[in-house]
Amino acid sequence: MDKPERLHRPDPPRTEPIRDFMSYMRAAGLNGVMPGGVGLSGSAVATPDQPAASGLDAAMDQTVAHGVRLGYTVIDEQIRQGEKLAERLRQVSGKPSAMPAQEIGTLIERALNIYKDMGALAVAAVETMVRSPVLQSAVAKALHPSAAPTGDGQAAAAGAHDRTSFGLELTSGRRTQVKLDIRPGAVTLMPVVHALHAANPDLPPLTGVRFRFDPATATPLLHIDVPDGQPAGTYLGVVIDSGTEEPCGTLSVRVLPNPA
Amino acid sequence: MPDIPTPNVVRETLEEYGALTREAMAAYFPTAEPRHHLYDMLSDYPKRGGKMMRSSLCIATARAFGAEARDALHSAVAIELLHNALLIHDDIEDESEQRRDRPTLHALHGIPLALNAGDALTLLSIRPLFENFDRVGPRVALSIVRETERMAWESAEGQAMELGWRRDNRNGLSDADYLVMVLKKTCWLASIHPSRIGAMIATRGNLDLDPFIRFGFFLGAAFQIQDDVLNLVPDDTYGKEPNGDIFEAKRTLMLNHVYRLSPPAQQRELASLLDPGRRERTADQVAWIRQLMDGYGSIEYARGIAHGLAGAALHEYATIYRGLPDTRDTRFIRGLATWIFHRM
Repeated sequence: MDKPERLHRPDPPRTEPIRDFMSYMRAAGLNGVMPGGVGLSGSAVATPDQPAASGLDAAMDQTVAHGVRLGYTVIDEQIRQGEKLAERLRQVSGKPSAMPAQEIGTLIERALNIYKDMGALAVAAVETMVRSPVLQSAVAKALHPSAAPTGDGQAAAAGAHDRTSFGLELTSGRRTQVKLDIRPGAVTLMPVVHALHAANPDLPPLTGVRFRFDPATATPLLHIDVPDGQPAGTYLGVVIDSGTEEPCGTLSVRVLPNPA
Repeated sequence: MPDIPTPNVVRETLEEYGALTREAMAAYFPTAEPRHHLYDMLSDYPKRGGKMMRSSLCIATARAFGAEARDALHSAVAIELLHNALLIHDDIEDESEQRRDRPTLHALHGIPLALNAGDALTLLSIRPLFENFDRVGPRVALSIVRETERMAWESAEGQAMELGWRRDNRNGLSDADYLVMVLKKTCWLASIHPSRIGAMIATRGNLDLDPFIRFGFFLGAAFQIQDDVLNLVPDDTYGKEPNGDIFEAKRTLMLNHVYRLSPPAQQRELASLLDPGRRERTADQVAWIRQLMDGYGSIEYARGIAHGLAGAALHEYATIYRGLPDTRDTRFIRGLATWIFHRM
């Protein structure tokens, strides 16, 4: 059986990066001219019916493009090195601690007491704590002894660390993780949330999200409706307190991809 | 079609958030003794003004993601205090004579007292971070402490790179070398850290903060290069001594460019001039290097790189903020990429 010819996407028409400053200025229809008719270099620039000034000629464009390429090369390499380092640190810090959990809790309680009593002297203690995920977990327990472990948060309103409780009504055909983070004491009336947006601006927002009063429990009920066609991703939105009209927290919904 | 933000929104936001931060910062300056030899010196640089870009970026980012300005205020104050502390030490290390149109702190009081004041201001910058525990909760407050520690290490490493190059008379540095140094020395404190902290406060740590590294790097690097250019071509608002960077043999993009384009004999002469301590360089020698920069087009070259980086910052801005409502805060953040070229 003959193999079908592999499909190729046509080559993009551009030959230079388009994410440079000049491209943005041109896209804005300003052709490199700042408001007031001043060029980026601070000098007067040519109008469209005048010959281009030296600051906007091809050589300048090449330098600009070089700057973009160079910048991305540098920052991508730095981030790659950071990821490698983080992976190494994660391997080290993920090893089981020789210190029993009870002792860790005591240590952190003492450290927090030092903070309360001595102010700035706690810096070293806090820095020690923040280095270790094991210690961080114990810090959270010491600060919120009544807080239940959140687990993976699947289909549950995790992070409700304040005294306000919320019900959750989730309609979704796929695995969905919900994280509602409300600032303690920030909710005075029914919270309001509008559409949730993904980091990827091309994804459609998640619009079926609202709070309503649940008379059965006399608490706010968070209703989330995830349509079948909603792309997988994490959708985030700001929660507003309808009493103060101030932001009181965030809601994130992670829609997991369908299993293969 | 998107319009390019006018610098007005940047100026107005800097004024508003800058005033908010200054007012909050003033409460941290002790009024006890020893005032003359310590505490009065702590507030000297902050009282001289400054653009307040770092603190304003922190507050604007927090607000863009839905927080109140007050939620980010402690962090904004910590950033400004640490920034001013590092300026005191930088001025000593660079042997600078002017800061914000006045003599540097060590020029006024001597190096020992200025060093001590810088240490004290660094300590003072930690205090607002503890007040964050009440405002944003212990989990986010601890994360901010961790972020601050990371940022401070990055800044120290970047400063060490630059000082080391000068002490060891390193020449022939590449543009990538320079940008790595600037990423650490400038970008973390100037733009990466304020953006990340602001987003962290508003989203309670539920947002991927990696994109802010790219955005902050491009914005901060463009800002630093423009600052280096202004040192050679100062405008009315520039508060440092003209050509001071050449006097200090700072390995700017322009100096590296001149060196790379020079023939071998001229490279040897440049290396010889850049080697001695700052006091031994004469005005004529500095003027000669400055002329070489004009001759090789080094300043225009650096401007081109800065424009490219600013464009990349706008690109990264769009990636991060496209899903958010268009507000004055988002317009301010976007506007910074163009404001750096005509800041006033």
